[in-house]
Amino acid sequence: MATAIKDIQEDPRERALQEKVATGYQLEDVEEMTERYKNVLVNTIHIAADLEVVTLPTYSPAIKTSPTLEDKIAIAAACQDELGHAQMMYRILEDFGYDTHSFLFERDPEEWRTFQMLEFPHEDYIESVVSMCYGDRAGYITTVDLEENCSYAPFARSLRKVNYEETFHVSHGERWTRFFWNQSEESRRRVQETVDFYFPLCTAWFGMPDNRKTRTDQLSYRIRGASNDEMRQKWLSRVVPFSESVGIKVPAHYDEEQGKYVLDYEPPIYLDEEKREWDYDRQITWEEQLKVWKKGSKHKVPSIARVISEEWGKDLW
Amino acid sequence: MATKLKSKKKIDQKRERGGAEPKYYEVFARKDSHSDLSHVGSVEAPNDELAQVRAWYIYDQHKWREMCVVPLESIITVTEEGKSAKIKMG
Amino acid sequence: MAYTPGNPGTKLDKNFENDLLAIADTKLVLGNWYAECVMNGRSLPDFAAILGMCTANYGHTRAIYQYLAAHGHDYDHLERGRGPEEMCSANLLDEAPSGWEDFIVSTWLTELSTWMMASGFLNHEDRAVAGIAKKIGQETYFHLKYSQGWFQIIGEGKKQTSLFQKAYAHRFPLALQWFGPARGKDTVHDAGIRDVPLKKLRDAFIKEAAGAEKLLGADLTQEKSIKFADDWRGDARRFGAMPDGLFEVVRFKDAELAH
Ligand SMILES: [Fe+2]
Ligand SMILES: [Fe+2]
Repeated sequence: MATAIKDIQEDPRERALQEKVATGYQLEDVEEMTERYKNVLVNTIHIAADLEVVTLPTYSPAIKTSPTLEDKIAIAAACQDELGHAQMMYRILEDFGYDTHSFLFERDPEEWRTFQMLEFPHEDYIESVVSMCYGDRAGYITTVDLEENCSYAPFARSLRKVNYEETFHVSHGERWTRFFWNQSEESRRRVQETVDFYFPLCTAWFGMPDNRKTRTDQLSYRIRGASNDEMRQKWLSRVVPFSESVGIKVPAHYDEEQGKYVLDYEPPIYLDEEKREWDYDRQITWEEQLKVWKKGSKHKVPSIARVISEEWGKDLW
Repeated sequence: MATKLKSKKKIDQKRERGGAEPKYYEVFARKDSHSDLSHVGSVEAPNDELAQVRAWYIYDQHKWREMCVVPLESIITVTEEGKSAKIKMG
Repeated sequence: MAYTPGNPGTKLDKNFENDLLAIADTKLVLGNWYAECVMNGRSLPDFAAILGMCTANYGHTRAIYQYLAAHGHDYDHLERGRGPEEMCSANLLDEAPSGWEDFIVSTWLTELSTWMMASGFLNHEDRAVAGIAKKIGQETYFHLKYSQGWFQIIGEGKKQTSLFQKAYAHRFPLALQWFGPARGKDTVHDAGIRDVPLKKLRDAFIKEAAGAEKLLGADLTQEKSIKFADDWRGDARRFGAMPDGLFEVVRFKDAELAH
């Protein structure tokens, strides 16, 4: 996906389109696109759509384990929103020749493009609210960037509803993360433990650091506006002050000298998936990290397999 | 598919999607008496009943005063003559 | 849905409370049915619709529990203090659905019967009760429409139609049984709390439940003779205790996090 900017500049059609979108021009029609533009746009929507769908096997198990009706309702309603987002994105993909049905139900779970942050089915309500607080916040930063910058107008427009609903998920997450932090010693311990697990996952949501990759087509064609590091910085600038105000410990802080938020560890680091524990002292290479991301967690395939399969009778209860 | 599945869903395109080609409906809604009826999105459904329900649950970001669905095939484009309607989203 | 208290504090008629609790518990189980089955959904928009119906039913349960809590009951006890023998959900939902057709039949019959019962309180003198009934009606409207959409799809398949008929033959008597013996006592109506006689609601349910035939395009068998044996719990509108397997799904977990 990362293509050197040089090649594109050599093709006058591609360069013309890049210059056009750089001035803020938005496309309405598939016919206005170059092949290259279309590829990077479709790729972006494709991944965004997959990420919305996997919230179903990831978030919905917590409906059953929630402590109260109010909490069950909150999760089911958030999940309902996510599936609505997915359907809108899939609908856009259909204009590019995708068939929603086969894309959703006939694709091998291994081929789904998901991110690690959304590959661990929620075991309890605390995991759900912490995920909403940190994870939906990360997702929100990505989709707001797309809404504000994407040069394909139909996609940018559709994200208005998405982002409107995401603000509810994030504020629900913040409210209840704070609540459980203050509820009891045990619930506080569980919140901290869950944040310890999710924080590096959310940091990784934004992908490789900028200095590890060349400028991508996503930015050259103005599919999105901010780079990986810029978005990660935006995320840190929200979650670090929030965590500090609650009292939650996170492995990041504001560095006065650099005038920005910095991580207290050097990614990528090793994750013990079984224990759900990060080893901050054990660095892995980016090649290893990419392999881990590509393969997905051990839950990825079973989760997606569940969405495309049926389970009835004794398999239910 | 390389991954083995115990009981994969078998979906009958013709019955469940309304024909050889999926059937679409465009969704319009009005927020309150002072607002225009606006296009809010699109849904796929094999019949009018499911189109209504799916639209209601997907586009539930507001407590709409009024909502209706229109089969996409009934929409005649004026400025984009000869092309399919590209209202779809937002 | 938020509950607005009408005449809080007053003690309610016992039989009226039982009717409300039967509706609330049945909807609690129905909500869990939707949550457990959502991933069996057959299209992307259906996932959203099933979750929407899940949320709505939980909302109805919650509103009724809150109403009862405003009239002398302990909310926490209602929500998570009861064992399987105290739950008052319809037997109709005890057994997990055997397939998509059974899922559509069972959820539809539950939506229809609970709405019938709730509609008897649309004119209740306490505006809070009438308000809950009205809200249930407004939301159930979409749930019934969802079923109707599926009747048509199922009706176009031969095998699917016969699975539907089989499920209907099995579930309909369980749904009807929820209304109690045909010539049973109707204390809530006699006391003037429900202005519609139960018999009228039961008859309306039978008639509506036959209405699926038209959209399905096939005949349905309505077995109406139900034996109310000794373990019928009239106050709970069900036989016996909630099965353990279902109770394990329905019961609220992580009690120490409750708030
Ligand atoms: Fe989303
Ligand atoms: Fe979200």
